[in-house]
Order: sequence, then structure tokens, then C-alpha cells
Amino acid sequence: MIELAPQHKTGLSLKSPIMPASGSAGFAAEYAALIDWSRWGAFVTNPVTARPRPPAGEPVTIDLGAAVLMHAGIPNPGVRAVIDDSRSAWKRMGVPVIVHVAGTTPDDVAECVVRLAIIDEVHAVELGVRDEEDEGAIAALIGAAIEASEKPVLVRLPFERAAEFAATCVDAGAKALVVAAPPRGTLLHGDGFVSGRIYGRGVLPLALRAVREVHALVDAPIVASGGVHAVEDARAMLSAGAVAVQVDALIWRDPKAALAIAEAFATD
Amino acid sequence: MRQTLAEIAAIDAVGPFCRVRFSAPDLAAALEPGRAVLARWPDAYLRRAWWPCAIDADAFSVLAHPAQIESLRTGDRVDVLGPVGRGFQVDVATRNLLLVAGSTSLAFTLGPLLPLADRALPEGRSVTLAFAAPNPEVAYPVSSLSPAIEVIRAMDTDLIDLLSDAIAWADQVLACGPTGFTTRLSAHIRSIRRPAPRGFFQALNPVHLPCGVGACGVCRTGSRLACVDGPVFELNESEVNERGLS
Repeated sequence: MIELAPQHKTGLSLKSPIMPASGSAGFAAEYAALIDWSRWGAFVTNPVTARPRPPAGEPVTIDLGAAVLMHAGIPNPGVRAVIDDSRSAWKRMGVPVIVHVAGTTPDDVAECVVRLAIIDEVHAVELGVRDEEDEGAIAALIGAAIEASEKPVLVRLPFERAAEFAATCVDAGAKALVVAAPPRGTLLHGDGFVSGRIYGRGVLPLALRAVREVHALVDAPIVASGGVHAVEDARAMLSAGAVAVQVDALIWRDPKAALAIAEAFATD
Repeated sequence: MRQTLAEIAAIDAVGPFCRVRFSAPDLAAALEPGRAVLARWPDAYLRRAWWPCAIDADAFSVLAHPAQIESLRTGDRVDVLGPVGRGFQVDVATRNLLLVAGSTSLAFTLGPLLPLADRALPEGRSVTLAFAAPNPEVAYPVSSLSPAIEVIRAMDTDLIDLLSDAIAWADQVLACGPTGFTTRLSAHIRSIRRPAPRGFFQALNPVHLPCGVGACGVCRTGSRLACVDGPVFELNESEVNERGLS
């Protein structure tokens, strides 16, 4: 068993180190016809906010062949609707469910986490923090999440500032760190620049470097995320100091290949 | 929905286009006109959405520009995922079907309508197919269509301006095109057939569908996901689908 929250009273034990990254697998049952989540270590939901959030005004999908730049905003129906719509599917998954809460404001985070706190099917919260925050704001977000629930709080670090924010997050009470959110990028598209997150196997060496940096800085479980497209990629992340690994856009590109990674680490 | 390998059984030229026939018995049986297939493609990271131009019991075909498929050969196996989304709903009472391809990217907008004609004609329905082709050299060859299909082809006029009589004649109008076109068509339909019966006008906007299951959120507009709630939307619904052509 892998323990993601060793200092926490309920803990967060996983049978396998492999889980989907937030934003990749939906809120619950979207991939039910293609992926057996019971073969994974945990299920991580798409980001949720306290209130419904519309999609980005102009979603971006620019396929570069080896990678893709995407921007959808954080479209979600709000935490209440997510709970109502997903609870029965979470119960059937047979693995711990980690709900990703978008770190917008402390009040929003608290409102979200309070609602999740009473849901037995939710085992932990993954809090996403933005790269434009300062350390005080990040500590306030984490504090709001911890105050609102007794469930373990993981923090997903922004790619560009993962090492810079890692100690602050652990000091503020994060039980584990997800290293990291997909990196942001910009492309010239038509007459203007568009920005979004970058997905692809090319992200792997960047993520691996970030994992090693954070591992050297803090004594907390690390969940590696970024560019994992094969079993050997996941093993590299574990060798770099991670205790668990998230798979992101490979799930969209090739659900069978994503499942094969999970199967390689599954314990029967 | 399933992920499977489809073997390319044939690649045929159809005018300026290519028709690629995929053998995929387990997937073809579940396909319906308007539902998509997401295919892994050599030059793309994400899957590419295709709307079949023909659906048989054990195979489906897609219409493509030759440049899009230059790396593919007969016998190649392509990883496909589908069927994706909600397709066109043809009412059992419909006798007269108007199909409208709403852009000059005919591989995208005319191809998805052809299976509707294939199914409608043997059932005794009358079919009119309308499309714009200002340049005859890049137009879909009318000679490859069944002679039972009446064709309206706009050469140098706005296609919608040619459709008033056909809209009055039709029991259903099923269209494929970008939102700007279907919104204008919707307004034109409402000026002629008001109130239009439920399901009278359905429109498919062939947009990017990166995951096809509602997970990535890129095709979401408001509370609707094109890959789950669409990509075929009914009158009014189509107007909230604001994505461009893929």
C-alpha cells in the first residue's frame, strides 16, 4: 500500500501508484465504457468550484503533432451539482476519490470543501494553486481547505513555480504535493497569441526535473504529473522520488494505453 | 463506445476527395448518421473527429482531402474510438428530407449528410441535397450521388437564398456546417416554418472533440457538451454551439 497522507488521522492509502490527473478523466463516469478505474490507485476529478463556472470564452485546441496546447477554462457545474451527479459513480469505483478544488479564493475553497467534507465517497481534496499567487495567498487557500474538512488536502503546484512554493504548501498543512499542473504556453494563432496548457510526452523531462527538485526540498509525499505516456515514464517518476504518478492527456489520446500503465502497477 | 483497430479496406477517389473505407464490424454496427469516430492520426497528438459518409453493417467510410490521408494505405490499421455523441434523428413520419451542407469545406460538411440519404431513399423518402460549390473543380461530383437525390448547388449565390421552396417542402431539415451558417439557416427556416415542429431542424457542427466522452471540457458551451449532448443539436440548440469548423 502507498500512503499519501502518513501524518493524517484518516490517511490516504492507495493500492497502486497510478491515478488520472485532474482535468483528464472528467468528474466520475465519463470514461466508464473505456476505463476500469478499479485497476488504478485513485480517481482524481476535474476541477470544481463553489459555483457553476462557464467554459473559457474561446476554448483553444492547437495540435502540434507531438503535443497540444489547450485551454478550456475550468468549466464545471459547481460542487453541489458535481456531488449530486457523481456520488453514485464514485461509490462504484472501488478506489479512493480525490476531488480537485480550484484554488480561487479562500472563501470559495472553504465553501467547496465544506460540502465535500460530509461526502463519504470523497477521500481527499486536491487543491490547485495558480502560478500568479504569492506564498501568503497560497497558505491562506490551504488553510481554508484544512479548516473546512478533516479529509487530507493535497496541493497541486503550478508547474513554473513548483520548487518555489513547495515548502510553503507543506508548512501550511498540505499532506502531499502534486508536481505539477500542466505547464502553460503561448502560440501565435491567426492574428493573435493564444495561451493554454501544454500536454504531450515532451513535458515528461520537464516534469521529472521538477519532481527531483521538489523531492530534494521537502519531506512530503510527491505525486508526479506531466507527460507520462508509458510504463517506463511512470517508473522514472517513481525513481525520481514520487510515490504516485498521474496520467493526463494520454487518457484522451489513447485510453487503452493509459489503462495499460495502470495495469502494470495494479495489485491483484 | 469502444476503442478498436479499424483496417483500411479501400481508398477511392471521389472527384477531388478520397473516400476511405474502414473495416470495423464491432464499431460500424453502432454508428448512426451524425455520430463521430475519433481516429488516431499520424500527424496529430489528439484524435481527429470524423463523421462517416457511409455506414455499412461491418464498415464505415469517411470523406477526406487527399493531403489529409497521404500517409495512409490500404491494409493500414487505424486506432478508432466511437461512436461519439448524439446523431441525427429522422422522424418515422418524415417523407421529404432536406439535407444542407453549409460550407465549402465539403469533406467536413457534406460527407456527414450522405448516410442520411443512403438510409432515406430505400425507405421511400424523398431527398434534396443542397450545398455550395462556387468552384466546380473542388465540388463533390453530383454524378456519384444517387439519381433519386435532387441536388441544389449554389454557384455564385448564397445557398440559403436558394432554399425557401425546399424548406417549405421538407418535413425535416438536417444540416451540417459552422455555427454562423446554421444560425442564419435557422433564422431563415423560422421565417418560413413558424412554428417549426420539434426536430424539424437539426444541425451538426463538426467541431474538435478531443476526448469524445465529456472529460476534457473543450467542446462545452454553457451546460452542453458537443461530444455528449451533440454534436447534432436541434433548432435553437444549434445556436448555442459556437465552435468553428475543425
